[in-house]
Amino acid sequence: MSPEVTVLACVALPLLAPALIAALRRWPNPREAVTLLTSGCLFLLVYSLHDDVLQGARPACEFPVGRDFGVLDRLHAQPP
Amino acid sequence: MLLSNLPALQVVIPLVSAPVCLLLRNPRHAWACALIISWLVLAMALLLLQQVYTLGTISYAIGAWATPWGIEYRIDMAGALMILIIATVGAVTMPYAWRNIQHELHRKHTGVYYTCYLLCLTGLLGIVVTGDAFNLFVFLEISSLSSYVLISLGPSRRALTAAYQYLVMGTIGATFILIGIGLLYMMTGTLNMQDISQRLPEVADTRTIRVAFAFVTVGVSIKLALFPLHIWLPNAYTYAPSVVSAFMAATATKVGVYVLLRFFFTLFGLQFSFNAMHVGEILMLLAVAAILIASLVAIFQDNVKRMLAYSSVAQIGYIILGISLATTAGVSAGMLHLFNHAMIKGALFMAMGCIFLRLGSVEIHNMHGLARQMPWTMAAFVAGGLSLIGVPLTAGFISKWYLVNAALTDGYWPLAVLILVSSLLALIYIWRVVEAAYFHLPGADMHKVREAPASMLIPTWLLIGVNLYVGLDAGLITNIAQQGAASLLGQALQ
Amino acid sequence: MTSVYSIGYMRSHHESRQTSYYSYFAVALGSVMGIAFAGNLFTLFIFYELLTLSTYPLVTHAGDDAAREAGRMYLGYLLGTSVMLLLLALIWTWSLTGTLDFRSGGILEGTVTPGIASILLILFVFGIGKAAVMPFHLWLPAAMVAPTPVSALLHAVAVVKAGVFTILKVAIYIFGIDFLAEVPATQWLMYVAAATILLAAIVALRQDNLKLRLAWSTISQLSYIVLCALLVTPLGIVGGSLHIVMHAFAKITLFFCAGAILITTHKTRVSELNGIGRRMPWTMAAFTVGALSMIGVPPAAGFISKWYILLGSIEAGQMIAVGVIITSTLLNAAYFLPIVYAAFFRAPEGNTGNVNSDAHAEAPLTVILAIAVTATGTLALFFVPDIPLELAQQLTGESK
Repeated sequence: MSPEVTVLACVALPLLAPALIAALRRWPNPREAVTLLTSGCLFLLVYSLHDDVLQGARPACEFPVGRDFGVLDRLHAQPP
Repeated sequence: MLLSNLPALQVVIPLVSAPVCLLLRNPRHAWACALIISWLVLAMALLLLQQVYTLGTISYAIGAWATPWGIEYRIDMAGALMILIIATVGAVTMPYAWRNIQHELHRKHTGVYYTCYLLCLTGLLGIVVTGDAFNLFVFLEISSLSSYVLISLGPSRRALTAAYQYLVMGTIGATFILIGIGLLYMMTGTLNMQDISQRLPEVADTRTIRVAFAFVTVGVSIKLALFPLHIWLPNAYTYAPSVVSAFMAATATKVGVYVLLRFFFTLFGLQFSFNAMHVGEILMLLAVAAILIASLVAIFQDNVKRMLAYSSVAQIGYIILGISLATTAGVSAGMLHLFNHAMIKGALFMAMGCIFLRLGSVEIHNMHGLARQMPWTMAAFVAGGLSLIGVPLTAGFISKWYLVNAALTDGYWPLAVLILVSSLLALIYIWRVVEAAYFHLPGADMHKVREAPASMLIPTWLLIGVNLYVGLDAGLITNIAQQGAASLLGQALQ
Repeated sequence: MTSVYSIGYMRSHHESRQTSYYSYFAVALGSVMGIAFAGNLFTLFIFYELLTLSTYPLVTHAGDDAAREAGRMYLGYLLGTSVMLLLLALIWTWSLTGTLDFRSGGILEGTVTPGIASILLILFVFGIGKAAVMPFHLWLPAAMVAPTPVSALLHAVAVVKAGVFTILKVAIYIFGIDFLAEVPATQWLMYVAAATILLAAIVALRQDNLKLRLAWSTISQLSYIVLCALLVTPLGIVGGSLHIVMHAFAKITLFFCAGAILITTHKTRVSELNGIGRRMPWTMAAFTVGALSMIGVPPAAGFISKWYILLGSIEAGQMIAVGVIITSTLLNAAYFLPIVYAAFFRAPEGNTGNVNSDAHAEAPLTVILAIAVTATGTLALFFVPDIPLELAQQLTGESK
């Protein structure tokens, strides 16, 4: 996996896990298993990143909202 | 054929179908009729938006009479956005209305309700599409008169005094607007907005025009509940049926703001309004007062609907604040908040309607421990509340970002601080409800209540969904708001 | 570079299995990841707020009046500072520079005067309320009403580390350390951080409740990192980022120990801990390791980061900082060592006929296991600090 995908997975994984955790509300054991599995996967994902980072890669995630803020710049003409 | 007549159909269809609702004896049929019309209106609004988006401003001559003489319907981007707001809220509140109206209204009044609702819809849409000053007044009266009736239908008898108060205030406002338009007609000899704006500069430096400007500004300010002309609003929203509160909070005051925009930018022009009359400074001052005072008052309300009403006054202050900057950034921030606040307040009032249906009250002390019994309703309230506070990932954050940015670019950094401080005030009043519902144990005298019916929950969550979607991807709506602002200011520059 | 933080965090999360609020927990975890990997300040801010909101239900988990009060304080302080100061700084920066991207060398240099940069820096440092720089620190002791694993993870590691991490990020990538050195406010904020270190340590000395003592110690330790960011020297940055990891390991150990003591003996006060080392030798051994790391004694990991911080302050010629660090080390010793001493060498007081009070009664195995792993980690990081060290040095390489 490329570092970018890994980063995305790192952020998305724990944000999606609650859905599964909530679905397993009635069964505590699978629920806790999911939690542990999530954190385990996360650890592995993060650990797999550190080699790339040491070699100079700078993976990062950005939020889509930030991109749209550029629109204002073009329109921001002060009326005389 | 059909598509080119959309601007007229948009108004005529709800107008014609309003009496039909009164004639249908069966409430279910009346409701179905209103529902279909609302959805039809939404479809037309989307088509119109698409037309404006691709083709630019639409001009439509009623009865094919040429413009300065006949009535012109004119829809630009700002208008299309307004139509979209009104139509969306209308279409979402209608399915919600069925259970709500059944619960809060006497059976014999339901026909009246749907009729008045459609008339109100007609009036609001008419105000937006028309390009004729007198026609605007007529539609304003249609929407106002029907909304007096809608408010008076509220479940408690206090709705009558609230409606009466609104009637008095609203009539004063309407009269002022009429006087203003009359003076304009006297000086320019025309009622078409484009025409007036072209002829106005010749006579702009007269006392008559200045008086006309003052009358219109005060009159419209009453309609949009600008502080300190807001006193009709808290009572009206508190005692109206819940669905009416939701509909009115999301649309009626917003249309008032739109009228203000039209008069300031299209009719009188930016030069006259802001440079000659200095209305910007006055509006800014009033907006600041509205934001601070109304937010503070909201903190001390025990009735949540009243609290939301005061919060509306404060939020209108935000919108006016953006407009008072009179820059593209400011006006587009104001218009963005126009849309976002409509979605937020609509959703919050609808959540309160759900609670009223089950609990029979919207007092904070009756909501102790309610989150266990009505989890979805309270979750909707929390989501809407977070949006009102302006937490990231909600629509409220987007408009706050643009507002603060607009204030900072113009060098008004105290305004930026003020906007952020007042969002903390919003945090306080929203959290009072959250703490009551989530942390207090239900009182001994509280009976168990069930979750609200799906027909009310789904519309509420639809609006919440719009909030969250805008928070995630604001591209489309900010684009529309900016084009709207550009078209308003662009006209003013010509 | 960001993984320094994440690995430190993940290690600790891995061990916790006691809370029932897994969903919020996972969301909080995701927000931390988002903060760690954010490519611009805007993204970071979104996840920062998400973290506040997702940890709120964890803090108020108990649901009683005390929890509500604490939750109010938590939300008020964190949301208040971030909305009023941080967001303002964010939008201001954006309207000045037109970007919020993290760039090496900073984005502000050349676009703003040192005066405005000072205001911005003040807004940033105080606005990041999660870093608990005085006077915005009171939420941290208040949040200690949460269940122990929650306080351990979120208030010793995740939340507060998110705060100082953000400050480091802002210092390096928004201001750039060269520009930061020219900003007049840097000096003053450094004094504020130094004062926080000392004052919080003194307050910690007077706390009898073990968790509260740890909380105040956290406030003190966090300001070490803020201080490092404001030293504006490469060694200081290395020291600060190392301290994030080292402190995380040591503090999580200490919190786990406090939790273990609570569930086995139901004791929360420092004064009740006499002789507890005989009953729970493993727990208290781990506690000792954590405490040594806090003080900065070899062979615990805290020594390494403290070493770099000291080097950094000497390099910057900030003798006040050097003095503060040395004094606070003494204070750390003063509030941790008595606990260790009492636990091992003092006889348990008042044998009120309870036959088991001397018996060997350890916490459940899973808890001991968790404690053992983090304590070993604290020791291991002293001997093999390569990974965090390398990552931290890369960070400074970029900041120039």
